Amino acid sequence: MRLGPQPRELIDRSQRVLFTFDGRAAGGYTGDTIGSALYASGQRVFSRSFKYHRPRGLLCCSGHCPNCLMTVDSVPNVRVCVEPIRAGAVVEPQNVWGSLDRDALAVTDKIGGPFTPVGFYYRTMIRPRFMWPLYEKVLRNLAGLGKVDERHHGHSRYDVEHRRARVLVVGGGQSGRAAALAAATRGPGVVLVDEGMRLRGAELEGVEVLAPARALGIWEGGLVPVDAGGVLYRFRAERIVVATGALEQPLVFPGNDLVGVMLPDGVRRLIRDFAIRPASRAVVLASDDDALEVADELREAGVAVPRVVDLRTAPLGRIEAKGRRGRVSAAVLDGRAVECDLVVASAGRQPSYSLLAQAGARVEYEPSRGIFVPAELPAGFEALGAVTGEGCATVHPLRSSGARNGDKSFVCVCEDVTTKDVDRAIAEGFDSIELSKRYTTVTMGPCQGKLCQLASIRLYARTTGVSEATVGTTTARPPWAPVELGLLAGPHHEPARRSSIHFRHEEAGATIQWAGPWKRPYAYGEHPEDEVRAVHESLGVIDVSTLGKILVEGPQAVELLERLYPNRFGDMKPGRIRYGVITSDGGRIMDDGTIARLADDLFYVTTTSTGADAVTAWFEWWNAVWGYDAEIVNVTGALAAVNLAGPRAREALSRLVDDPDDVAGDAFRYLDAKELDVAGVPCLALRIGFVGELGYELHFASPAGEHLWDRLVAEGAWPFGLEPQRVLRLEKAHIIVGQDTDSESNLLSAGMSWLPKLEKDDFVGKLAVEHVARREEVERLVGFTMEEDVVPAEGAQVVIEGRPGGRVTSARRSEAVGAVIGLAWLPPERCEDGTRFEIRVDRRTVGARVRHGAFYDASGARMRA
Amino acid sequence: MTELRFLSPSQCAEGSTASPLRRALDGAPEQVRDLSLQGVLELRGDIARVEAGEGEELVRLSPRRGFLFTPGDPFEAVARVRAAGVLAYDSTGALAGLALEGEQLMRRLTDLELTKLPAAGPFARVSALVLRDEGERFRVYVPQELGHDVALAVLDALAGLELAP
Amino acid sequence: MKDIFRVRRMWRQPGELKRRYDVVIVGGGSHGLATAYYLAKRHGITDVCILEKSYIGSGASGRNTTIIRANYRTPEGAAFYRESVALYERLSAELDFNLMFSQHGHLTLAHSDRGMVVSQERAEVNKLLGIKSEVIGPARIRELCPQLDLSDRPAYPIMGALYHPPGGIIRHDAVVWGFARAADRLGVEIHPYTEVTGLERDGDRITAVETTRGRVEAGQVVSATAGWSSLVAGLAGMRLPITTHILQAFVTEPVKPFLDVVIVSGQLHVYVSQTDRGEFLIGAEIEPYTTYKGTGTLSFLEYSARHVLELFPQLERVKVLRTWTGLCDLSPDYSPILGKTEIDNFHLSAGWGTYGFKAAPIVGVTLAELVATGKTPELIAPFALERFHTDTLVSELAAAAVSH
Repeated sequence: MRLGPQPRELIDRSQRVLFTFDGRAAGGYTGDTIGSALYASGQRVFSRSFKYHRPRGLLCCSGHCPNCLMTVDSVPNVRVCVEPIRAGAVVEPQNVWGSLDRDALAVTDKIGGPFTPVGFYYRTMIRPRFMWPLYEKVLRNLAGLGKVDERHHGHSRYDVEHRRARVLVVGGGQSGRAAALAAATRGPGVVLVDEGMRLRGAELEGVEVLAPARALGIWEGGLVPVDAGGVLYRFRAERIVVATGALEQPLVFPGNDLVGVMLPDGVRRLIRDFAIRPASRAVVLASDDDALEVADELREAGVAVPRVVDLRTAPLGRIEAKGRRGRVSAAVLDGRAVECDLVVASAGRQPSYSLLAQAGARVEYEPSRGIFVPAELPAGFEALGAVTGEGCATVHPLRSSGARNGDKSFVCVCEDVTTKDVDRAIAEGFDSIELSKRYTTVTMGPCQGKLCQLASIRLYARTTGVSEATVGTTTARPPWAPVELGLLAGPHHEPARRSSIHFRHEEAGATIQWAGPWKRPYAYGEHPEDEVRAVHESLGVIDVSTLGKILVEGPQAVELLERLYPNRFGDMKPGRIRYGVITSDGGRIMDDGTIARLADDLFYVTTTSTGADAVTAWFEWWNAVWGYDAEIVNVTGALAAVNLAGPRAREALSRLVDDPDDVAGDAFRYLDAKELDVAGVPCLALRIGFVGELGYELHFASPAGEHLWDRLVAEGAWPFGLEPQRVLRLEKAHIIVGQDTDSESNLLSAGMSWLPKLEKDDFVGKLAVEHVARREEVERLVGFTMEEDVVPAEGAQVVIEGRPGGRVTSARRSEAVGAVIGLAWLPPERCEDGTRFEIRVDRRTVGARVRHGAFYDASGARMRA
Repeated sequence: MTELRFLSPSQCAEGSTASPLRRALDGAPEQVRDLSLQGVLELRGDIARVEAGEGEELVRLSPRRGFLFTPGDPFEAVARVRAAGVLAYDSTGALAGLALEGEQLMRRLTDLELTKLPAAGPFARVSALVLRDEGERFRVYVPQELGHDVALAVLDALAGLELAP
Repeated sequence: MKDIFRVRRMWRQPGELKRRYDVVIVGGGSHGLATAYYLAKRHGITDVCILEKSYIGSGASGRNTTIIRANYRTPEGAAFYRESVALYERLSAELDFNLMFSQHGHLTLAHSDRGMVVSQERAEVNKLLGIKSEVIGPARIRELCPQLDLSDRPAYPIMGALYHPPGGIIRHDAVVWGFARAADRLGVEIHPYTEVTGLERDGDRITAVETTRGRVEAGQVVSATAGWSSLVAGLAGMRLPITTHILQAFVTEPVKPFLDVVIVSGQLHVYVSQTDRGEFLIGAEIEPYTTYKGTGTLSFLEYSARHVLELFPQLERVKVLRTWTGLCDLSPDYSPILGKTEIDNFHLSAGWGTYGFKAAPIVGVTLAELVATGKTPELIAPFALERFHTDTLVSELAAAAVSH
């Protein structure tokens, strides 16, 4: 089947390459594609079609159509006509029930026509309703092409490279190459991208050639991702030259999908690139000079060409391809049969304008040439060659009018859409091209409309009697060609934030979990309650480096904070701390934390672990609005922080500071902030009590994290994780913003009516807080204890008269309290201390009682000790 | 008046500080060096009033924001800059720093324009400050809490380039 | 069955606009068409016209990721969507059009204990309202979806999931066409390619609607225009508390059945299903800036692709075929704005964010009732526009923000 050496062949006949196809040995030469090697060895049927399971063979041979989709090394839907051959590759046909040559489902082609017209599934299988799941299962199993290899575990290497170019030329045909060379004479930074194999390793002076590689589309700001197989180049170019050429368009006639009906370029590739004699007798139906030349090339290759028709000058009324077992055996031209095993047929060339349309070019129809051409290119883009319409024209692709009993005429081979289907859709009222596309699914298959859009528009125009210009095209959307998910995904990194003490927790065997953008220890052992007990009875330490930390400094720092928070800060003395809550302009609780005044014009603000970035941005935004003389500096990462808590906290700390008197009771009171050197590390120490025991939050330079942690642990502090911390704070009825509150919670109903200072002139959300104070209260957050020893789920519903009447936001079993405790939102009339209510737990309701104040150490004596 | 000593790793006792990258870069190739713990100040105010000293490098992000990289003790530099009327904060502990070599390596990790540095922008999916030294040598600073993962991404990108033809 | 042999028009060819209609519905998407259908079907009001600026279903109705579910967070939201799912289950038969509702279940994955708590809360609300929802662990997830990577290798290991058995996917276009056909047969006029350019207002009433094809007087006006709601309300001189964002979605090339259930991950901002055609249908989070321009960014596509592979690393060689975007009309509390407005005869279906399509039939039923009777049905009372004045918002944020 191979011809003698061809002048421009791509194959290296000295290098034989072996692979397996459908379980059998197969081979070709280096430079072959899997498709060309199979064709050369006599394979003609390459796939079975999507719906009718008709045999299909090579059609475009340029990686556009669906006819050669196979599974290669377990990767589904590979276009083997452009997939380079590789030794040992395992190539399998797909979507086949039986074999490529005998497919049991081909029966749908014989009987399916009348029973399965376009959209048949919308009109059938409706009743009885209980049968639908079964019908659906059958439908699902019939759909789809290749199979995903479930044993494949992914994690192949994909890289992304960010590139800049002065000139990016897409398309390496004559005009693309000329443009690239011309641009290169004016300086460096010229890149040429081409899909084909022919330019692989080509040298163009001053031009970087990427081939085979494919420009996937034009995205935001002229971003052009280029698929170079394993690497995605993201190009930004000062100028983008689109020279993507034109696409040959199939003719639409009965039997136009038979194996052996090919586009001229595909035939030419087989002869010129791979030195294959494609057939023995060919009929050529040409619509341009290129296709006529293919007739000559066929003859030179020893193929008999009994009939060549130039459709521009000798229009045929009717064309039909007749086949035997799915393969062309004759072309019937105006009723006269010509025996052949190859029909080379094309309606001409349509500019391949997608990239330009994506970039924003308008696309208009030129009736004289029967093509859509790009117009009004956006700035920075240039179009050259056939993509502009140069040398392009098509004859009307439809050659099947009046066919009643003949074979199907396919408008779209991907989706097996026939002319009858389109006619029927229009007759049913799907009478705009977009509706028709959605109904028939024409252009929605793997070729993305490259080979069917023009034909469907022209068929549509002819049937509805409007012009092609009125019909218009469907929107050109990226990607231009299918691209692997893995390549879009790029490398596998998902950056996580880790405190500078993090690896100590891992070394200690802590269970690590995500907490917002951070990785944090959940607990250090199997029993979080042991960690709780250590804090209550002795000493615990928790890594709270994740807290947001913000310095606010400047002559107007006080004014800024007074206006950002409902709280008052002007009356605070340096060295003191206050709890604060930020409200949105709608008066909703956004975040909470502590505010320490370090000096008259310097405040140290902490936020929740997930709130740091948002709060910083919030501060900066308002400061920009108001224009205060204050700086906002996010020092979250600069500082590590630990909370040392428990009855032994003072004693332990006193052993680590230079002067134990610095931490004596009177010298360091509850809600004091103080700078101290602890174990040789300068710290900002905050005496606060989130977990309910005597405690000190130490904030210090991150690089000293492990050192200070080690010293505290050496002093007998038990590391405790997030889970024990949640129990400890719940015992104090301290809320967690975002867990106990949601995006609609306000201060008053969250039980913090003492916090907003409404006498202040203004603060963010003041109007809304005042409004809430006036309106009828809807719900309130209160503590509760369970009547039984069961822990309701967080989110469990309070049931009032069988309906949801409130919800539990936190619940834990507390050893220290000796009960299951929690926080819940309840209707205001049920919030009196001691009121009984019911919570749904599993499939029953369990009683609970409202409890005001802290569950543990209600007077706060322990944390103030 | 506080001097914000607690922000300064240089004020910690000898041997008590460590780089956030030391685990990730253990045994790393020569193209990657750890610059964490080298002094850097975050500046706020009229940056024009800041004078860079011997071996120091001033990076302006805006007329009122910048960084000062200093080979000396950043705590002392803070005092000096503040004396000049500009607010300064020791950011040494906030940033993980990497010295890298090779334009292609950088292109695998950032879409910043490498001819227009210094600049702030994404690097290995993290916000970074990127500077260029002579030739193809670069410095990258990222939040220290993300440094470990960024360093692993850099090493992975290097591995990818060595795999590439 | 005989229907498949006979070619019959789905709807009449649109004629000239009349001078006046009892009800003018702006927007020929699933909500507008459903409202028209139920007006005619349940209330006998057939002097109704639908004005659509493009083809029917050209907006969000034809661009969403076709997921149907009822597992919302708030009792108000969950009860509303429960009715919607119930209507969807009977809709193929009612409309005599197979909407291909594939109820294979819906899994909202949790990758943190915060995620688990949110799942639990939704499950508890749902159970109390009779909606099938439960929190399940990895072992049960493996039974339902063995294809998921449940190991600790992903950056965000899966800890559990909210399992919602009635959830699934449907053919979105079929919903549009089914309602359109049924409404048309009951006498409703559908006018595609007829853009509303103005709303004539006389005090507290809209008197007429100006369109690119002329002016029509209206007894009542309904706006069901999703992403364009703020613009249409603007024509009536109303400002809505809505911002409009885009959301990107994409499909892959078709492959053989691989995934039956719908998989959603709030943390990864992605949701994945496989259509009856074999394509993977993947949706992203809304993009953070406001715009009416319908083009998405490559960065978001890359981000979504990366996160899909976190869940299903086997799919890395499956190819993305087609991408598109839709407009999302976001309300401050992520609950819809549905019902009466300050203008007496102007009613709204808006503020749907990313979950309007799921509500189409129940929106149709309730809005039709409101238009026909003048009374707001109980089910949609919590979603009134007035709530932004009375400050009684319905926070669907935790559940809806990224759960489709």
